[in-house]
Amino acid sequence: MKRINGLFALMLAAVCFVMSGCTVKNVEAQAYAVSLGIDMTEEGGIGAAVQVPSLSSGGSSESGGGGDSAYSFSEAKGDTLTGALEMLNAGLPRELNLTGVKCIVVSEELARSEKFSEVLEEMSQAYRVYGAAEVIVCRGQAAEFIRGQKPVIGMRLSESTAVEMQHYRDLGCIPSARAADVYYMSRSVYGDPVAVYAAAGSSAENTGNEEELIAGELPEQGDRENQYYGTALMDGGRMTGILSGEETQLLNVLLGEIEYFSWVVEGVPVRINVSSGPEVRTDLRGSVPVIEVGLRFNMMTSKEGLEEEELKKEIERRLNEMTRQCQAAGADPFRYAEWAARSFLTVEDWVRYGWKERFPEADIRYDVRVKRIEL
Amino acid sequence: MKEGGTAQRRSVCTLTGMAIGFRAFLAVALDGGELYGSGWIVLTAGMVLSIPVAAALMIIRRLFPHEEAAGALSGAGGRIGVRLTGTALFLILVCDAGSVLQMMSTAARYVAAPESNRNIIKLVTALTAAAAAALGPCAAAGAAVLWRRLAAVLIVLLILVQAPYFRPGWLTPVLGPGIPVLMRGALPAAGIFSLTAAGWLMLEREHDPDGKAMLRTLMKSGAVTAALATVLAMLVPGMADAPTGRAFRLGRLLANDRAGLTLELPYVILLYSGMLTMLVFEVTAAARAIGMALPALNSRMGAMAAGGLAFCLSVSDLARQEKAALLSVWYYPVILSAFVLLACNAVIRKKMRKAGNAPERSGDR
Repeated sequence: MKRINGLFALMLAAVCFVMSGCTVKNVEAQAYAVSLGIDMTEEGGIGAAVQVPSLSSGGSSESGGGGDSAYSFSEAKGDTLTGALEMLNAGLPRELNLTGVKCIVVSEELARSEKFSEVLEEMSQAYRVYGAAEVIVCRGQAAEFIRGQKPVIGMRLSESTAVEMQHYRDLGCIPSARAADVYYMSRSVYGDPVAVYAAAGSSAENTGNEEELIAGELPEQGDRENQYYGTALMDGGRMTGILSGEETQLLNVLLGEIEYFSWVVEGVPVRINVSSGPEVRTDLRGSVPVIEVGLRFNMMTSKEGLEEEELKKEIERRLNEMTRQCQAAGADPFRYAEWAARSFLTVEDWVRYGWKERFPEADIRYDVRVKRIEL
Repeated sequence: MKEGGTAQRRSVCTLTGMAIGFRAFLAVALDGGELYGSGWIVLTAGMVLSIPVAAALMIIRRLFPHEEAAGALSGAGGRIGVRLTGTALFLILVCDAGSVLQMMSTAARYVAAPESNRNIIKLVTALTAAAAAALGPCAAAGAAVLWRRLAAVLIVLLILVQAPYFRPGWLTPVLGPGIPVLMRGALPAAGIFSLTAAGWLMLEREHDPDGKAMLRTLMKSGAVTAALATVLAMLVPGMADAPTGRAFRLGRLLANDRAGLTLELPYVILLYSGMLTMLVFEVTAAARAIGMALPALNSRMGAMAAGGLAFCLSVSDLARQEKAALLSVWYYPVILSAFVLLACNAVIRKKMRKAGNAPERSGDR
C-alpha cells in the first residue's frame, strides 16, 4: 500500500508539473499586447499593429508615465489577420501574447467591408485573443489610433484603457462591446452586434448639434488624443451605420445598461433616471412585426421651464429617430429579436420567419412616461 | 457502523453523481451539435431515459439483498451474464476514459501549454488515475466529497459574478434545433447517465438495502446538470454555423469568453478537477467491472489495465471528437439492454423458484 501511495503522490506531482505550463510559458518570454489594431491595406490585405509594454524602459514593464519609451509599437501586414499576426510575431523579440489585450481597434474602412466578417472569424479562432477585450471601430487608421493611446491619468495603459472604457460606459455614451459578444452576435440567430465608435483627434467639422455628435467631433481640447463617443452599428458582421453619443445613451437605456443620463432640453439641463423598463411586447401575427416598448423615467432638474410632457415628447422623438437609423442600417442592436424569438418553438421556425428581413420594416412604438421628482 | 455505512454510500453516490453529471455536461457542451439554448432538455431527456437502468439495478438489488454487486448480477444472469456485462461495462468505461484523456490534453494545451506533447500529458494523467483507482473506490469517493464542497462554492461564485450578463432570451426558441435533433443528442447523454450502473458496482450491499441509492443519484445529478446547462446557455448564444472543434468549444466553456480573465481561474479549477474526478471514477469502475468479468484479476491489476487501455485508446483515433461522439451513441443501448435483460431474467427466475420450478439457489457460483 505504501508503494501505491508513493506512486500516487509522484504521479500527482507530475500532473501538476506537466499541466501548469510553467515550463513552456515563461512570463518574461512573452510580449503581452495591450492594444491590437487591425486595418485593411491598400492591396486588400490585413494590417495588424500592437502596443506592447516595453521592458527596456527603466527596467519596469509598464512604468514610464506614458512616455513614448514605455510602450513599443509594432505593425505588420499579411493577406489575412492570421498572416499579419504571424508576421508581427516574427518581428517581435518575444512571443506575441494576446491574452491580455484590452481593446481591439478596427478601422472604419475594414469594419464597413465584407472582409470584417472573416476577420471576426479569425479572431475567434486565433490562439487565445482575450474575449472580453473591447471592440472599437475608429475613423481613420487603427494603427495610428493605437499609437496615440496613452495613459493620460495614471501610469499603465492597460489599466488606463479599462478604466476609461468603464467611465464612458457608465456615462452611456459608448456601448458594451466585448470581442466575444461582437463575434457571437455576428453569427447568432438573434440580433446584431455593436462596437464602440472612436476617432483619433477632434476635427473642425463640429455640427454644433449635441444630439448628433460622434467621436472626432467633440469640442474638447486636452492631452487626450483619442475620442470615444458613439456606436458603430452592424448588420451581421459588417458595419452599416453610426449612432451619436446621445443616441447611444438611449440605446443603453433600451438595453438596460444605464440608469441615469443627463441632457440639455430646450436650454434646461435635466438629469433623467430610468425608473422601470424597458417592457417589451412583440406581435408577429401580421406581415410586419409590431414591437411595443414601455419606458418609465424620472426627471430631475433645478431649473423651471421644462415640463414632463415636453421631456416625454423629446425622448420619444429621439427614440424614434434613433430606431429609424438602426432600421435603415439593417441593424437590431436592441435585442428585440430575443423577445420575438420567444413566440417560436424551434430555431428553424424562427429563422424561417425571417426577422432580419422584416426588422427594417417593423412598427416599433415607444410608450414613454415621465415623472418629475425632487433633486 | 451504520453511520460509516451511510457515509460510504453517500461518498460513492457523490463520486458517481459528480462524475456522470460532469461527463454528460461535457458531452453536450463539447461534443454535441449546436443545441442553441436547449442543452438542458437534452440532459433532462438523457436522465429520464436512464431511469430504466437505475430501476433495473433496484430490482436486482431487491431480489438479491444478501449479495454484493457481482453476486447479485451473477444471480440475475448467471456466470456468462455477469462476464458479458462486466466486459461491456469495462469497454465502455475505458473508451470513455480515453475520450476524457483526450479532452484533458486539449484543455491543458488550450489553457497553458500549447507546445506540450499531447501523449505525455495523457500518459501522466492516465497513470495518476490508475494509481488512484488502485487505492479503491473509497479513496476516489472521499476526494469527490471534498471536491463537491469546493465545486459548489466555485459555481455559486461564478453565477453571482456573471448574473448581470445572463441573457434569458438565448434560451428561446425553447425547443432549439427541434425534437429530432434533441433526441439524437439525448442518446449520448443517456449513455453517460446510465453509467450509474458502474457506480452501483462500487456500492456495498449493506449500504444500499432498498437499491434506490443510484436512482436518487441519477435524478439529482441530472437535475443539477440540466440547471447548469441552462445557466451556460444564458451566457453564450446559439450560433447557426459556429465552429464545432473542441478547442473552440472550450473557449466558450472556459469563462465563456465574455467574462474577465480573473474568472478564468475558477473555471479552470472546475474543469480540471471535474475531469480528474470523472477519469478516476471511470478507471475505478472499469477496474471493478473487469474484476467481475475476470475474477482472477486483482483490483490493482484491474486498475492498471483500465488506465493503460484508456491511455492506448486516447492516443488512437477512437478518442477523437467525431469518433468519440459516434461511439457514445452506443453506450446507452448496450447498458440498457444488459441491465434490463438481467433484471427481467432475475424476475423470471424468482417467479419460477416461487412456483417451485427452479432449484433453490442464488447464482451459479
